[in-house]
This record gives sequence, structure tokens and C-alpha cells, in this order.
Amino acid sequence: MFKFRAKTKSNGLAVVEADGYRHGNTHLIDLRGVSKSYATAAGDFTALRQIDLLVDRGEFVAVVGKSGSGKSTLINMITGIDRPTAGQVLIGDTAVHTLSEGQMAVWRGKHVGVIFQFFQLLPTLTIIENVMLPMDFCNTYPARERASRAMALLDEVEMTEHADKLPSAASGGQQQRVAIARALANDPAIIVADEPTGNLDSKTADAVFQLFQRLVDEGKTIVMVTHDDELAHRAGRTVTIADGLIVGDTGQGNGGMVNGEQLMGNG
Amino acid sequence: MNDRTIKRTLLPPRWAKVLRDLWEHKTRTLLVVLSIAVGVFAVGMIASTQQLLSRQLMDSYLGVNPGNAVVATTPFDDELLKSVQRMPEVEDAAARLSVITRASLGPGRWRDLTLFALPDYENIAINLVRPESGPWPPPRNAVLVERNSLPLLEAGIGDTIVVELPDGRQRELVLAGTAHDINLPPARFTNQAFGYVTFDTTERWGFPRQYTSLSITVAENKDDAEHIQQVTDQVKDKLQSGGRTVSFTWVPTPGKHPADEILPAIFLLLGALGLLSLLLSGFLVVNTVSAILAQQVRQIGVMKTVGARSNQLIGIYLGTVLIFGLLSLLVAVPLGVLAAYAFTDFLAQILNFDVVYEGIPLRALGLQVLVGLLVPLLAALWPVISGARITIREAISSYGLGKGRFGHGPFDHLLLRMQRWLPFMSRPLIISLRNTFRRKGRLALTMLTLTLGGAIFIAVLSVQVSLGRTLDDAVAANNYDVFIGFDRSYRQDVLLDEARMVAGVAVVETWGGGGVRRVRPQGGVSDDIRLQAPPSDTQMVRPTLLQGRWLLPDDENAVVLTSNVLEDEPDIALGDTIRLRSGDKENDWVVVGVTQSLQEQPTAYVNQAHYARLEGGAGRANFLRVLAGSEDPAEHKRIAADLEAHFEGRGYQVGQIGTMSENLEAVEYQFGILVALLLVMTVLMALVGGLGLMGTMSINVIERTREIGVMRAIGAATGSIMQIIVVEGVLIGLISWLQAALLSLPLAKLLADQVGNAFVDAPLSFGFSTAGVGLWLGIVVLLAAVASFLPARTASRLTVREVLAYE
Ligand SMILES: Nc1ncnc2c1ncn2[C@@H]1O[C@H](COP(=O)(O)OP(=O)(O)OP(=O)(O)O)[C@@H](O)[C@H]1O
Ligand SMILES: [Mg+2]
Repeated sequence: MFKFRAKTKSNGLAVVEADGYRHGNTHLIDLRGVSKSYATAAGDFTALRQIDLLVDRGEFVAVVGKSGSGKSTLINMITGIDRPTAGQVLIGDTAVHTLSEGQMAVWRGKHVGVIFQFFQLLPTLTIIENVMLPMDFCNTYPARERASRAMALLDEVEMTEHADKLPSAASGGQQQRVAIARALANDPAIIVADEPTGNLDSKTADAVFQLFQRLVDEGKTIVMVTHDDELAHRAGRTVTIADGLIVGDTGQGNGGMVNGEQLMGNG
Repeated sequence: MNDRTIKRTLLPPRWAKVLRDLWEHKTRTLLVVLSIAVGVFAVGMIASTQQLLSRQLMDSYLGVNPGNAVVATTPFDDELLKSVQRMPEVEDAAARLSVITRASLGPGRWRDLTLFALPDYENIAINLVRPESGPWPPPRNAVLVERNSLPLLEAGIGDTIVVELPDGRQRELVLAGTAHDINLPPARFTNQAFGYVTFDTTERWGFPRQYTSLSITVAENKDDAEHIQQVTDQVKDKLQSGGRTVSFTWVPTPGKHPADEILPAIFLLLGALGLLSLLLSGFLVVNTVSAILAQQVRQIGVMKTVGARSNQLIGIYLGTVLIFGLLSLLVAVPLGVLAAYAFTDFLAQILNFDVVYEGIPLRALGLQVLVGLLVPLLAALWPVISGARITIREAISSYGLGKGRFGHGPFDHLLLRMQRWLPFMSRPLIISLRNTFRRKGRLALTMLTLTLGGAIFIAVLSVQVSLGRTLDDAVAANNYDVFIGFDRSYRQDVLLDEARMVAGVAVVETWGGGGVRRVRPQGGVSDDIRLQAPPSDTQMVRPTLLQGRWLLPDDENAVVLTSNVLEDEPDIALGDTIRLRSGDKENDWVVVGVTQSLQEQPTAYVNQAHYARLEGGAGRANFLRVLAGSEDPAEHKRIAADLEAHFEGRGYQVGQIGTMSENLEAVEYQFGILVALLLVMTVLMALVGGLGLMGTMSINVIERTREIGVMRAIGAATGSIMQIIVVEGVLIGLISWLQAALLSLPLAKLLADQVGNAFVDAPLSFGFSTAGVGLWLGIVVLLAAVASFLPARTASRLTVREVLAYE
């Protein structure tokens, strides 16, 4: 079934060695002709128009654009939170647009870490329990290892001393760091974040951004929506959206793998 | 919650969440749990009582080796008894002598007392009688009273009582102690007492050492009523060929205590009410669970984002509901068992048997666990499934101030317009009005709970009124205060003249009457039917007719039956000709009417003139009915005593004498029990309704915490916030009250008909409890005020900061 040899853990998002991923995609994230329209009272509204986007493993992509341009809609395609009206969403070995809701939940839980701007943590669970939650739902890692793994993740975001507090006792930036730790719980290859720093002051935002940078260095792929031009600039690659179209892309393939440009034609 | 550190649990995080959410909303959890508990308690109490009672009653009943049949005859001796015992079809036979006496309770007051003489108190083969207190067997000239009858005799152990024998002689008996006989009807139900004496005593009174009733057990097929009837007929033939006249035979349902006929109806009625209250508590579960899901919609979104499948979420929320159920069982099961023990004791006392508790009624307990878990789960199923299916996009995009929409639909427009018409309405009142109708689904369920609860409340109270009215009708139907029966017939004009000499007697009538049995076309005879022959112009019987008509002056062989005759003889229809046997005469009668009966004896009314001719005594009568000038029961007793003294002083043989009010005591007693049971259920119903309203109000307030904060932030005083919430609650209460009042009318009629059919063989004389409507208004307004005041107070105490931080 898998014709390639995996370099990373057996998380289904293995690095392409020769023949590409299962559906013929050679990039970790491969959006092909993705359109999304919403039925509204005033007729259909098209939020995304025939988007093609390739992101390779290890890339750090910032998605920018005006409010209402379609940024959230775009990344919701990657996480499977929303479904395309037309086109294909191939992520690693998975054709995301073909999954049922149940399959989607399991796939997302294991392979994509999602971070929002607001409301992240369950208020009645402690910080460590919040981090353990994805492992509980997806039944990854043996039950007795979960707490120590969560502690290790909290250590990465420097939140271990708050582990047994409730989220309400943590500041916004601390909560966002916990949310990042939780997004990493099942060791997903991809992190998708919708304005993760939108609610934070610039210093805290900077800390969160550095955390992302480190994750990319460790091999994660990150797609992040931001309104902060400065942060966008510091990401490896910036994709600009306007009216549901990609109108700018600073470095397709340059931020990550060797032969991105070469393979683009095959997309 | 605060920023204290929480002890780490070994629970998986999702179950930790379930428990903490329940704990965080303690009040809500408590209300739901209590509401389910009330329903489970009601069902459990009734199911357990039924289980305990039927087993215990059965054990006690079978423990006395009950006879399969009873045969009543003219006196027979040991030899005949032995020949019956020798019959191969008969396993065993026991005989006793019955002497029908009446015991004096004081001047002119008598209580029917049937005395049984048994040949050997140490060896009772069938229908065991057990010693309770005093010597055993009863000494000479002493009586052991059946323990259930003791209160009826108004005497204590050691007292001497005076009994009057059938021929009018009076004898003294020492009340030496009590005995227990489960086979007799509850004394208070019939106002009839029973006692045990020895043949030594009856022989001294002049009765030969002979028996008048025979109980048998059959040798085989003890459960086969038909077989028992056949054997009984053979026994009867044997007695008759021995020269005895068999007056009646009776085959009770094999293995069943006679009370088993009425108990299922009681349990059905109470059980149905219990289930209904459980159903109502299900509505609060629906409301609460929907509210939890609505409140946690973003949490659901987050959980889904980190990989939770819909099924896992359904598991989490149904788990929450399961915990509601389990907690409610914790409350309801022990209370239910205790209540069942008390209820069983209460019924056992009435039915006259001793309860021996061994363990817990497991089957009923199983039922409780089943309904306690299943009903909430079923109620929650739809809200949980639809709530867990929400997509992440829907979940994380839906926020803002409060939920529930106002401003759509015709009703909302009406409310909006109302403000223009009624400009004097205060702003808080307008907000209350709008809030009330914001969550229409929830409102509908709360309304339904309160409406049904209220309607049942009023209906049950109406049944009480109807029972009272039925009793009143019975009094009106028997429009006389004192009755006298003579042992033989006398000339009517003489009886009337004598009676009028007694002070206080206003109106007198002479009646004919006696005991008859119906000769069934398919063979056999019915139980005793009381035949009453009033004069054609009688003022003293005005029964409520259910079918046909009352007797006309020139009716000859027309008969009007009470409805309980038809209950026993279901093949009789209006217009049929039936044959009645009186002594050794048989006559045919045409049924022209059916009247409502209380639990009095089955009765047949015929015209006096015709009856007297049939009996060969034209112009003679053996009964007197007297209407007193006063309504006072004590005065009636006095008149009865004076009448008796007067007639006996002149040599008349008075057989029975009594007052109507005393006769009704037994019926009043039975109705009283019924009403008490129904009232318990009513209270439970009101409780479920109140909890439902309180639950909904606290949900409403919790949901609007943020909104309340905003109102405070813009300067709303605590008072106005409280006012808004309390007015909303009271408004819900008032609307539900109106609906309940409307619904209760048909419901009350239905319930009264059913109760009547089950307990007095005819629909009750319907009366609607307007007092119940008023009472429910008071209760519902009070409940609503309290139910909304408590959450309102909590809400109005929140600081703006707390409220805005509220998630
Ligand atoms: N469910 C929906 N129904 C109708 N229109 C929608 C829906 N969701 C989004 N849209 C529209 O699609 C467009 C793109 O929305 P999207 O949320 O992707 O914007 P965005 O770029 O993320 O904006 P922002 O920076 O404000 O978050 C907007 O015009 C929005 O109004
Ligand atoms: Mg957006």
C-alpha cells in the first residue's frame, strides 16, 4: 500500500521518497482547484475561487489578506473543518474532502493540530487535562504515558508549573501556549492556526511566534493566518488572499523541501 | 471556578470534564436529579408495594390453608361432615356454626356481629384462625373477637358485651381476647364484626351442636375453578340428599385473597400517576440537556477539533445524563423502599394480615433502576444526538449575547404590538414578556410539565369532590335517617301508628323486603341480593338512574337493579326477564332500570303492593323507614334507640335497626383511603411541576448571565433584574395554570369515571373541584415565584466582572 519509506513516525504523513503520496500528490498539502461558495439569502457567495496551493513538509506559511478575503475559509479546507464545493484537498496520504465526518474527526485529531484565536481550552479541565484530551479522544499513546507526555509538551511551552490549574487562572498568552501544547499532543505533522496571536500583545505574540519557529525547525509544517505583517514577513512564506483568490505567494516551495518548484507542474 | 490547583485524577480527561461540569452547576444538577428522583420514587414505591403486598398477602393467605369452596346449609352434624370428608374428590372438609347476632354499643346502637363456633380450636384444618391475645380456645361464655373488628365493638378486652341472638334473646359475653382470621372482609369496609366462641357457649344458648357452613379443599386440580365448582356441586348434592337445604355455595378465585380483586385497580391508578410524574421529569431532562449542549457548543467545537468523534461526544453527554439517573436512584431507591414498607404496612393493616419482611423487593427495584436510567436517557437522546452532530464551523462561529430568538413569528409580533396598546407596561415587564417567549421549545416543555401537573392535581381533587358527591347522592337516594327491620311482617297501618308515637319521627314509610338470589338461566344461583319493596309513592328512595326508568305505581313484575348486580351478573341487560328466588318461591321480573350503587349490597327494587301479594301478605310489611325532623346523626341514633325501645316494649320482634349515617361510615372510610392515596400522588405531581419550573428558570438565568451583566453594567438595579426574572417565572406559572384549569375538566371526568367503575361499579357523580383550581393557582404562583427568585438572587449578586468572564 505504501510505496515509500517513511522517515518520520508512522503518522501517515511520511516524507516523499520516490513515488509521492498515495493520491499522486508529491506535497504534504496539496489543494487542487478548491472552490467554496455559501448559499446566502442574497444568492450564492463564493469565498474561494479555484485555489491551487502546495505546501511542503517543514514549511512555515503565513496567510494574509483583508478581513473577509477568505483566509479562514482556506485554512478550514486544510483542517477539514469545512468542505470544498469543488476541487480536491490532499493532505499526505489522505484525500480529506472524501472523508466522512467521523473519519475526518479521527484523521484531524491525529494529523492536524488546530489553534484558534479565541476560546481554546475547556474551562472545567485543568491545563494538563486539556493537553491530554486529544490523546484521550484519539486513543493515541498508552493511557499511563499520557500525563507524562502532556507534561513534556507543557515543558516545551514553559507551562509546567501551571499544569494543575484551571484555564481561567492563566493569562491569554499562557492559554495560547497551552493551546499550542495541546495541538501537538498527538504529534501531528501539520499545525494550522487562525490568528493565533490576534488576541495577544506584541511581546506575547512574539513569544508564540518563536515557539512556532522552533516547531518548524523540528520538522512541523505550519499554516498560520495573521493580520500582523511583521510576523507574516518572518514566516518562511507568505500567501496573500484577496476576494477568494491567491494574489501573492512569496516563496512557493522555497521555505521547505528541495524540489518544490520542480514538482509544482505535476500538481 | 477559581485558580486553586486541582488534584490530578486518574480519570480520562473527558470523564473528568463530565464530573466537574456536574459539580460546577450544582443547583442545576440537584434540580434535575430531584425531579427524576420524584418520578422514580413514585414508580418505585408503588411497584415495590405491589410486589411486597401481593407476595405477602399470598403467603399469609395460603398460610391459613384457605378452603376452595364454602357451602352454607341448614344445620348438619358430624356424621354428614365425615361423609363429605370421605368423598374421594374432597381432600378435607371443615365445618362451623355461624350465629348472626348484633352487639350492643349502647342504647339503640348495635353492631352486626357474626359469631362462629368451631368444633376444635386446636385442630383447624381449613381456614385457620390463629390466637392473638387472651385464652385459646375461647372459654365458656366468652368471645375472641377477630382483631380487625375489635375497634367496631367499642369495647376493650376483659369487658362484657351484650349480644342479641336472632330470636331477640340477649346474652352476655366476656370479650376474652382477639383472634386473627385473614379470610374475613376488612371490618371497617363492611362495618361488620366477627368473633369466635365454642359450642359450649352456643349450646347453652340453645343451639344444637351442629354446623351451618362447610369449607372444603379439593383433592386435585386445586387451581381449577371449574373443577372446584364441580366438586362443590357434588358436595351440595350430598348435603341435599341428606335432607339439608343449601342456601348458597361460593368458590373464590383459587389461591387468591378476595382483596386481590380490588388491589390491581388501585395499583394501576397509582402506577399510572407515578409513571406520568416520571414522564414530566423527563421534560426537565430534555430542557436541561438541551441547555447544557447549547451552553457548551463551543466546547463541543473545540473537542471536535482535537479529534472527538460525534459518538464520543454523544457518549460524554449521555454519560452526564446517566449520572443524573444514578444520582436520582441514590435518592429515590432507599426512600421508595421505605415508603413501600410503610404503604404495605398500611394496606396490610386494612386487609388484616401481618407483613414479614424478608429482603428487598428486587423485581420492583430492577424496575426502578430501569426507568430511572432509561427515562432520562430516552429524554436526552434527541437533544444530545442533534447537539453532538453540530459541525465545528457552526460551533465556533456561534457566539454573542444570549441565545434564542425573539422577534419572529406571529406571537412575537403580537407581543410587540401589545406594548403599543399598553403603554403603561413598565420596561422590566416588557423585557420579562419577551424573555418568556424567547426559548419557545423550552417554554413549551416547561409549560407542558406545569400544565399536566396542574391538570392532574385539579383532576385528582375533583375525584375527591366526586367521591363526596357520590356519597351525597347516596344519602339523597336513600332519603331516610333510620331503618328498622322486623323478624316477621306486621300490618302496615299499625306499624305506622306505632312509629309516629316516637318523638322526632317526621315521616314514616313501611317497606317490604328480604334476601333473594338470582336463579341463573345456565344453572346455579347468584350471591345474595337485597330485595327492597318500597311503596309506589315512596319519598325515601331517589336513586340516580344509569339506565331505564324508576318503578311506576302500577308496575307489577318490574324490577330496578343497582349497578353492582350487573357487575356480578353481567349477562343481565335492560328489558331482560330474570328469575329471583326468595325462600322456596321463584318469580320472574322484568328489568326496567339500573341505578348507581355505592359499595352497598347489590339491591333489587320492586313495588311493595305486588311484592306483598306474591309473599301472601297484602297490607303487611316488615321494614320501617323513618325520616327525622333533624339532620343531626346523634339525634338519628337517639330516635333509633327510642323506636327500638318502643317497639320491643310492645312485643314487636325487631330484627335490625340502624341509621343511614352509620351505614355510610364504611363507604366514607373506603373513600377516605382512596382520597388519601390520590393526594399523595398529587403532591408528587406538584413537586415534579415545581422542580421543572425551577430547573427551567435557573437554566434561563444561567444562559442569560452575560446579558444580566450587561444590564448591570448599564446601570440596572438589583431590584429590576430580580423583577424581570420573577415576573417571567410567574407569567409562565399563570399561563400554565390557565391551561391546566381547562385541561383538568375532561381529565377529571375521565378519572372520576374510571375510579367509579373500578371501585363502585359505576361512574362517580361528577363534581369539579373549583377549590382545586384556586389552590393550584396559589401553588403555581408561589412555586413560580420561588423557582425564579432563587436563580434571580444568584444572578443579581454576580458582579459585572464575573458575569463578563462567564463562559
Ligand atoms: N457560513 C457562511 N455563509 C455565508 N458566507 C460566509 C460564511 N462563512 C464565511 N462567509 C463569507 O466568506 C467570506 C470569507 O470569510 P472568511 O471567514 O474566510 O474571511 P477571513 O478572511 O477569515 O476574514 P477575517 O480576517 O475577518 O477573519 C466572507 O465574506 C464571509 O462573509
Ligand atoms: Mg478569519
